[in-house]
Amino acid sequence: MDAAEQDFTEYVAARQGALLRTAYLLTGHAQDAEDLVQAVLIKAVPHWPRITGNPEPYLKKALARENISRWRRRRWREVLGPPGQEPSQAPDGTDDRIDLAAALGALSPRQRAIVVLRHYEDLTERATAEALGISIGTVKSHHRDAMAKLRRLIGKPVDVDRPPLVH
Amino acid sequence: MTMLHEDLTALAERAPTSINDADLWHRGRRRMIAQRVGATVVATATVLVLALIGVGGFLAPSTPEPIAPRGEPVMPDHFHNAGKWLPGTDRAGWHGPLIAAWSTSRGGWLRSRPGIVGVSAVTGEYRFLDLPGRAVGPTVRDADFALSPEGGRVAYWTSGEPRVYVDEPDWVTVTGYAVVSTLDGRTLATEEFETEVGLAPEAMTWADEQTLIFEFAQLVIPDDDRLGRLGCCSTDREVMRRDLDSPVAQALPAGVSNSFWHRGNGRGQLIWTQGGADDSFRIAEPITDTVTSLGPSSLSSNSPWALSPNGTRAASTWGGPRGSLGGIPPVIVAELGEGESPARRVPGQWGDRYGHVLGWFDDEHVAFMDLWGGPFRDNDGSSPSELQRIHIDTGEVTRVIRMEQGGPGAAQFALGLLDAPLHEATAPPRPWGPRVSATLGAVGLVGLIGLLWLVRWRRRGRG
Repeated sequence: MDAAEQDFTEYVAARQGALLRTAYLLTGHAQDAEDLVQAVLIKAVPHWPRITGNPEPYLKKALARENISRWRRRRWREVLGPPGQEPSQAPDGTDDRIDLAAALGALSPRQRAIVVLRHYEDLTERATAEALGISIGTVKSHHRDAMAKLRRLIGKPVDVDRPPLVH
Repeated sequence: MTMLHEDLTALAERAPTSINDADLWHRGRRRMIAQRVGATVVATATVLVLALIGVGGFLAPSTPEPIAPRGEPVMPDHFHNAGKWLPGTDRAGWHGPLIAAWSTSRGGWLRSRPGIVGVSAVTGEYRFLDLPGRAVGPTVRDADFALSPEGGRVAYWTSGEPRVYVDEPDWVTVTGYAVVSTLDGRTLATEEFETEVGLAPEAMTWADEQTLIFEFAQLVIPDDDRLGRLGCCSTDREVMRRDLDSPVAQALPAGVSNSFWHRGNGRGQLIWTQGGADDSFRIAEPITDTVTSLGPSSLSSNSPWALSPNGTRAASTWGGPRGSLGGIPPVIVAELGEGESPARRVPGQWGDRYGHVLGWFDDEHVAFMDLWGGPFRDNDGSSPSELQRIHIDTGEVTRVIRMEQGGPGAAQFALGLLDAPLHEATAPPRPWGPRVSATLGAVGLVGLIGLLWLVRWRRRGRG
């Protein structure tokens, strides 16, 4: 095992949970999240010598973009049913979270990625735009639409008062 | 009210906690290798395709279909300039009978060289004629060849070994002639002549499809014996006839000599004027070895006379003082007769035309090559040459063939095919030269080497 492989293996072991959580929010589906993380890690191997040391930004960006690409390739899946044939009730029975999962599933992959990157990964608008390869204006408009949709679906205000961390 | 960040964090806790991470690294490596192999294959295939297109474009002979039904000869209404890299008959095959041929530059790896392009009367295709042993040098011009009246033969001067070697740069010694069939490239006749330092070709024409007439003198060595300055020429010129059924050429009767301007009418007759004080017409029938002397033209000419198909008229361009006949220089027609051959000016506006009589379409119409484009000058003012059909009594002009400017203005035509049906000509292909193909191949090769180097460099960077 060479140094790069050793580094890669150690990173995956340490950070796969965090990657899976982001992937889960992006896909809304446990199995899709696993597939997404695996695909992104496999694709990152050729680039590993370049990104080793701080692979996280690259991988988060890759997760968001790969998810959108995969959705485009199999759009029928999104149409046939909400992502998440997940249990309709969370293990801890929190209704808000069930509502949020369903509402996220109703967003487009790009809107969902913007919500996740802005409010879970705490990226700025500029960093979100760079991660998704779109303009800041597009981020703003998608973000506005996504938040409106979430409010409407959840049926109560969604608190975004806390500003995201500025990177 | 919950904060979105906290809700998302809580929701994310439902994500799986681990993935099957076994072999991820090696799967990534295999995928990378497969991608690079794929990219290399695509790049190589692209290079090969480009190279094949380049080489194929140069090598592949086109095989156009006959233009006319049953493959009968036709006359294109437009002659285009020939590309330097058109295929030659050695590679693409012969394509006769030819409707016309002219000398033009032919591409070569290091430098261009004189070539002869022939246009097929059947397919309209352009090809360079590969004439074995053809001599082109200081004493023989590019245009010194002769296309037969029916376009089935090409005669030309050949080079060989003289008795005395001439030590001059680019010197080509003319020692004989050859005739090849334009149908299949067979050599129908060839002959070498005894010569000390080489022949000085004077003229070459066809009396008919079977009979070649040619004239030459011997180059002479000057008194100071410096071969670097060869004298030209012996005073005695040889005027010879080669019947393609005979093994060798024969000298024509003594009366057929000392003229640069022999011209055949394609029907077995030859016309020339003696020149000098005796400007009488001579009509020779080489097949019967007869020479008839006729009276001189009442108007002088400035170019060779062309004999009508029935042998009773001759046409040329007027050689008198400029302006006295109202223009420069009109076509004149002489009625051949004993005593004097009365000549007349063909009616028409001649002020903006300049050219020469090529031959006759029939006994009433001459074929005039107007090098200035005459009354059909283009809107942009350019004046490509064109072959015109002119009625000798009315002067009515019909444009027959348009010759692209700067190109085949000096074409030789198969005179017996001038009245072949016209067809709308298409431009010949302009294939890439081998240098372009080689450049493409080299660029592709360099690209491939660069790609391989990049792959290796990136692998080393990761190692």
